[in-house]
Amino acid sequence: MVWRRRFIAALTFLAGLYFLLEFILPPTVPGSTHRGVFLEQLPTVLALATADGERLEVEVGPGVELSMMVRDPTGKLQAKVQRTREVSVGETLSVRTRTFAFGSFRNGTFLDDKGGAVALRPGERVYSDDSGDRPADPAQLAPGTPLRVEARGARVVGIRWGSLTLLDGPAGEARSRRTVALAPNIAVLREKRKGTPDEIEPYEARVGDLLAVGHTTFLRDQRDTAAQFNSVLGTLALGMGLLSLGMVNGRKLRKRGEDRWVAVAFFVAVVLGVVAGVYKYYDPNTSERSFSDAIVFKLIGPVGSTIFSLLAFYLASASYRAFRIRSAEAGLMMATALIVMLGQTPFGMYLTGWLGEQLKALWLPNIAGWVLRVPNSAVVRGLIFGTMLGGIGTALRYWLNLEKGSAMGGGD
Amino acid sequence: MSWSEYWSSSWAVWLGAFCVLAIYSYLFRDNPVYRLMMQIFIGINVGYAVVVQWKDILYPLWWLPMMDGIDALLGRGQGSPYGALWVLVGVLGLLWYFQLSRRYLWLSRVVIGITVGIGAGFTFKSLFGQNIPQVVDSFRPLGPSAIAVQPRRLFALPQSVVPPLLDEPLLVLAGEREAVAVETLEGREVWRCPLPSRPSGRVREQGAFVEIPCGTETVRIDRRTGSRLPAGAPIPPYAAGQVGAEAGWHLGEGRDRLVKAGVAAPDGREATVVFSVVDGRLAASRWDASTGGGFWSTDPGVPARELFDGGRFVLAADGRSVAVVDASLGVVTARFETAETPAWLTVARMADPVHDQATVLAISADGTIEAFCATDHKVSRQPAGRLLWKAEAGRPLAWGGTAGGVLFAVGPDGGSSYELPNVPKALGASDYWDNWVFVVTLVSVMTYFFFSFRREPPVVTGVRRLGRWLLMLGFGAFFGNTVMSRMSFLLDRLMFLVDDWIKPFFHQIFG
Amino acid sequence: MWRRLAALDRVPRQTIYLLMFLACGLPFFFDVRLPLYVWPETRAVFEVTDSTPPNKVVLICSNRVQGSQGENWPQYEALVSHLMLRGIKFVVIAVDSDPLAPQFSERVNERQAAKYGRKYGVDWVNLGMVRGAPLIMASIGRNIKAVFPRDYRGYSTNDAQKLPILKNITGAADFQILWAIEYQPSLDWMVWLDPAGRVPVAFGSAGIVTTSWYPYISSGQMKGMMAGIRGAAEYETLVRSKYGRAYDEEGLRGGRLLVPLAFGHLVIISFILLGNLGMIAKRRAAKEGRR
Repeated sequence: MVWRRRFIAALTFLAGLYFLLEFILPPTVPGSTHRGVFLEQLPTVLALATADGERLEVEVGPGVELSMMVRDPTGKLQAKVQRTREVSVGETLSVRTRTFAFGSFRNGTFLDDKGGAVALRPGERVYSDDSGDRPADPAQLAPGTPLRVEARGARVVGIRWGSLTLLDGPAGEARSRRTVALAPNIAVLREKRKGTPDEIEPYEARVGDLLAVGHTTFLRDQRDTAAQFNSVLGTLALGMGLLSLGMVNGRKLRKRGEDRWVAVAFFVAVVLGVVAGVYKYYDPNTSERSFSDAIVFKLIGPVGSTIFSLLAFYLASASYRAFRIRSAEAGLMMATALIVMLGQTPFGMYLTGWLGEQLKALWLPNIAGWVLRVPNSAVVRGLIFGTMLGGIGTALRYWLNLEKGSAMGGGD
Repeated sequence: MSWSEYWSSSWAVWLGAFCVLAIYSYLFRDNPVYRLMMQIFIGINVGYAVVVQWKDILYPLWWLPMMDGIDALLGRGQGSPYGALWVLVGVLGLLWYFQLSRRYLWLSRVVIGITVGIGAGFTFKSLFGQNIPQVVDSFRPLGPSAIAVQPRRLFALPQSVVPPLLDEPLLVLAGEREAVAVETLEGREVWRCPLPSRPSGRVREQGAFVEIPCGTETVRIDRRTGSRLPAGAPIPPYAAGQVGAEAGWHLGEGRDRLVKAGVAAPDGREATVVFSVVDGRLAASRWDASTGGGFWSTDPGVPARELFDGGRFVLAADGRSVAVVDASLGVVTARFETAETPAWLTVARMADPVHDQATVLAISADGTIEAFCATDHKVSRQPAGRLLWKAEAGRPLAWGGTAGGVLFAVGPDGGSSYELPNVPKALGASDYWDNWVFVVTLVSVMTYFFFSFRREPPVVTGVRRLGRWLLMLGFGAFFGNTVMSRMSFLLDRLMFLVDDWIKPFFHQIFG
Repeated sequence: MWRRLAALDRVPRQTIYLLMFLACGLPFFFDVRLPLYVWPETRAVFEVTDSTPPNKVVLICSNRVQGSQGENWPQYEALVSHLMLRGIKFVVIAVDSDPLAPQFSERVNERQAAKYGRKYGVDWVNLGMVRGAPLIMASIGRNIKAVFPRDYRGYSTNDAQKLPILKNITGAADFQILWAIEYQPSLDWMVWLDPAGRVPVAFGSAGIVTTSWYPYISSGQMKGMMAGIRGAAEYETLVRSKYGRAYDEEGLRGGRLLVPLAFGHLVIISFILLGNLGMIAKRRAAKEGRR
């Protein structure tokens, strides 16, 4: 079926394209990006309708934080800080207008730690880190507690975008000053001596900073979504292991052989595992949680590491049987292995320490170190380069669907 | 401890010990207990993983955004309606399960294709980032170099007749007739401001202003616009030779006293510290005399006629003799003689924060820049006080300052900025031998991997054979480390058996 | 004689297993310590960690779980005991690990803190686990408090009263060194955490993967490492030789596990040599028999 193969090939190509473009393309649209030395800015002003029905104008500057309720990685609704350029009319935001340290509270007014009165505009309230959704209670605050003045649940009804003035020529001349208007999705990047430029808020620019201002390509903004897509898609295969193991054990059950009880144990264990998994999310100090912890720490843990540790025994008997000097190359390999093994234990020093400081280079730990640091390091680097070129080649082949593997449908 | 107490606290240890021994019984021969343990282990793990992956990944990252999106589409809730698109991801994810069907197997290839595509896209970026430095490090010196390291000149700077102010991203210089501010990445001019007369003291920072003493008058300039402020405003106390605590280092008028805020004092706390010369000894004491006391006093070993700011260090100089003193401990870390009499001394602040890269830069009036080790450089094996490099600016210099590994050096005829080289490694014969071994190994291993000719020249055959030999050496090293690692798992289990099970049990029996 | 030696060619595997078991198990009953040669890779990271100034923190990504604890536990305990002894501030995180990893870390932290009287929030903080490497590593380098709005105990990371340690900590510029302790730490730390490469990276990893770290150490992308149990024991040695009696070694595992490790290596080495002797003997015996 040619169309099937082409369809899959196209999807594969598109899936990889994002990551490649994100890597290659600059963060702002080339051509329409202005670059120059920052001189001054006109701040952006948000017009808000607060939850109490008041109107509030907020000039976006240092101390101001715009956040939106979004799901955090654990699924809880949490305030996430938004960039000014991401805000649009009609959105509901929590707006922090300023912060101060608590001093005292007199006649219904907050005073900061220097004794200045904190005047609240209509729609603004004071919150602390511990106060949650409710405004901070002045009676319970210790002096010095950091507080925030916020307008929560405010709807954006208008945005007056500011601008930045950049210098892209000699300082004395008027025509080298250029004013760049801010707008939705105009990103401001600050250049650094080393590394890629950082995106900053326009008000964070200092006089003399080299800035690049232009429309974002959106590729960097979507990095988190791309990562989320990737991990969700991969995890949706979670039932595959359970299904195939279940099928194998189901067959054993039907056969009524000696393995039958082993298969029964498997299904019981799956149930036990599911229960332990569900109880894992109970509060500590509940009996459910203790049950889950016992399964994980006392059963899976010891058994898992014990199964791993069997490898030590296999390794011992395998190296006894297989490590025979049948050729000079095998001899070299064995000699290196023995030096590395002895050199990394205290016996290395016992065997060669008597040589003294003068012949320090012949101490076994030093020989082992030299082998690992010089020739081994070069061998590993050769392998790294091999895997890099091979990896890029394979990645390209899969990406462009030139690979004729059975999993990719090339065989049919 | 009574036996009932023992059992109630130790049952889990016995369970663990039973599991360990049941599994080790396989070493003797295969048996049903072992097989049972294996199935239980696999079963619990699979069941547990399904729940955890759902709760930790799918529920928060897929199910909740999807439900929020559907709610928003139906006009409830305040999430983004685009969230409903996660339904499509769910449909894509279901395609995995067509692997179990022979007829619709091809559908599962859709999702495999997407996963492979994403993986390929990631590969490009990760591989480049990790491996470019690997390529760079592979070009190693195989013999002593004839060319010494030199700083790289970046851009020219305007003149400054007094020490300028370096406060990133601005460098404010004061020339004969005007002050100029340039930014420090490319040296572009930001503003110019005419001065009434020749500047007479260093350019100083005062909040949003820059101050330049010009004879009897102090010119105040707005550092954002470069416009001059009217005279007559009160001059803050530090301008008369006193201290501005927030601003970092300042040089007292007599050049025999330095004040620094935020020095880590020997007790570990940060303090404002005054360094002064008393009877030929260099002494550090608290700036705030009320809390009292000196920190240390040391003999720098040279008559300290002038003191300079060196960040973590204090530099004491007399003519060509220089002593480097650790500012918080008062220990002399290096002493050296410069070739020319330095007009200015500074310690380079490198992009690399690891302190063993600290380098003293001595700038002389005839334009010579010399770099010395401030301490023993362990990584590069250069001793304290060793001359690392020497460069000629080609014009007189009076001041130098560094930021992020870049030196700004200026004088009455202008100046330049330089990218400072990393401290070069002192290489001995054994290093060159190591480098030869390294390069030969790398070349032969890569030849073994990548090249095969139909009619191979004998040289290539030889190199390929060498490559195969060296590869064996690498595999031997791999094997040695594998043994160490595998053994560790076993030791962890044995330590559990001995420390948690046998020893407490014996203790319980024999008391 | 050759014929008798030829028996060494086929020692039953159970014999080897038993000897391994005894060689590794018996030393645990005796309190033996062996002197140790310290490798430069360990010394380099010890020195960078030891010279942490008061305004910086050590960032530890500990993904240690039960499966890898044979080597990672001694390493983590050695590092934390050093930091607690010196009063160096540190921040523990876990990235893409088993959800239990922060719990494992906290057990060690609390045990070591009790020895030296260190306080949570002042001397150390545990920020819990996040997912999303490698992108999340870049976010941690830019602003760690944005990635972890709350710590493992539920305090806000912006709360300077509960967590004064984080007051002046933002991103890469405030980290003295990154320690990634895991079976096989991700090389992405070198690329993503600080693209300018100012934060030295140190790995504490299983011995088996250390072979592949040497090229990254020689290129300077990695500052150094603790290699398996040996690395942990060396790190303990370095702390002991610098701080002497003040260092309380109760509960440290590196030095203790090193002795049985040495005996285990000896068993494997002996059997490799005996096996070869057996092979040679068998050939000689066959030759003699033909004659």
